[in-house]
Amino acid sequence: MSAWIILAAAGSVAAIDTASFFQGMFNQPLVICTILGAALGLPLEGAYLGALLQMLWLSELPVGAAASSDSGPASAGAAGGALLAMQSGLTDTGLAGLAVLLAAIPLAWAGGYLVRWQREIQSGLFPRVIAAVERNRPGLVRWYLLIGIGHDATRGALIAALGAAVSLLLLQVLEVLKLEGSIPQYTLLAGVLGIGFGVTLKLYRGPRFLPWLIGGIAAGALMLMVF
Amino acid sequence: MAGHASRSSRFSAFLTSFAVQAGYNYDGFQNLGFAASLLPALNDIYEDDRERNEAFRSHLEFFCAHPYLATYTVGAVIKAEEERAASSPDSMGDEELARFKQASGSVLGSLGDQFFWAGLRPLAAIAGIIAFLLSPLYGILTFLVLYNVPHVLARAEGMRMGYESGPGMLPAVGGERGARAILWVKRLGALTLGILVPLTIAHPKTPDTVEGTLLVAAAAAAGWLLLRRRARQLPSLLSLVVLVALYCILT
Repeated sequence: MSAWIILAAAGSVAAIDTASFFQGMFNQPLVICTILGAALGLPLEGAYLGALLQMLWLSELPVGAAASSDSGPASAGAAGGALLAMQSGLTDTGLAGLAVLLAAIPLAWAGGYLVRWQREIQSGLFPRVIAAVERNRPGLVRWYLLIGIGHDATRGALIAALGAAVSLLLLQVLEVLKLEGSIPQYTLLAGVLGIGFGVTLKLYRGPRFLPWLIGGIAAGALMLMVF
Repeated sequence: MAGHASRSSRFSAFLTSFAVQAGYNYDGFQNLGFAASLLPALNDIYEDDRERNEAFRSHLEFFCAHPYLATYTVGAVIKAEEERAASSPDSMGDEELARFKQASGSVLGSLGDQFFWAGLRPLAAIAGIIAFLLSPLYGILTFLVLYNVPHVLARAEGMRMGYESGPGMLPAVGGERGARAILWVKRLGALTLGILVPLTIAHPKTPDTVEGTLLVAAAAAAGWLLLRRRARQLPSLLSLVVLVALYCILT
């Protein structure tokens, strides 16, 4: 099976899991990028790219009608592009990480607008279900749910394909700028996880959580000393 | 002729409720998924097609709850429909049932958003990253297990409790117990976030401890300051990533 089909399928799975079906966190970057990496024969690299992206959108809550960033398909696509480059010989994981970040962030944001547009389109399903009930065929509602799932799958595949293309293009630009070897992958990870702490702290504001946060830091330090 | 929803039709309703958000739209929100979840049970309860269609149509009104906890409402509405079909003296009228659905949507929506989205999801994700730092391929496993065991149990318990207690389940779900669960899952999330900090700084492959501490602290402070306002998230996130990349290139 072509790598691009795997990539589009990963984008579809991420988009479907975001809202339509199950919502078992298969849309989260750490999960979908590791799965994609495993499917493309690079599980460790996939896991690294997923960890890099994971905390950036954690504080965004898909509450009520709000459509947040479409981070799942965007992460799958951007990471997929980098993994394809790695399959073709790219060895600089740090550079791949930077390209993935620069591709996934704007695409996730743009994907949020696509989600809103899709929900407006899906308002058209409602009168069709009413018509089906009038024809004594309420069971057709399941068909209309499948159409909704199909919309998600298409959106996810499109964003993932676009993300991979952008990420491959960015890698070319970064190589032209002769940045190969200048981005240590775990320094990049530490910095981006740092941004993630700052973003995620939003969820634990206030004196109720401060002792737990400090307790966690102490426990982490203790773990390092003991192990 | 009126009947009861069989165990298999309730199970079918439970499975369909996994797709409660498919067909999500700005007119009725989760209405299509909610009505589709009820359909297997309505087929059992109403033998007369006209009555079944009327009941089905009444559930195509606006509905919005947390997708996992919507099973509480699905179960309770199946129970209420059984009572209505049997013309039980305790059965709910159309308006009363519509009010219950609206109220349960608000209560379950708020509870689920706080517990799952703002509590369990960050907790499981951060634990997944900790597992990744310790052994890369365990990250995904930790995340999925830690999140999905409570998630699927909550859906199943919702269906069971909703059906057994009917609309009377609402005060028990949304009360003190829910608030305590939210507080604890968030406390554990804060604890896990705290644990991640030293593990990131002292990871064997990151820069030395002082440099790593400064990098993580500066990035966290910048993230906190710049990303408090969601409207500016895209340029802020991008510029922070570029700053971290520049730091990597220059040092």
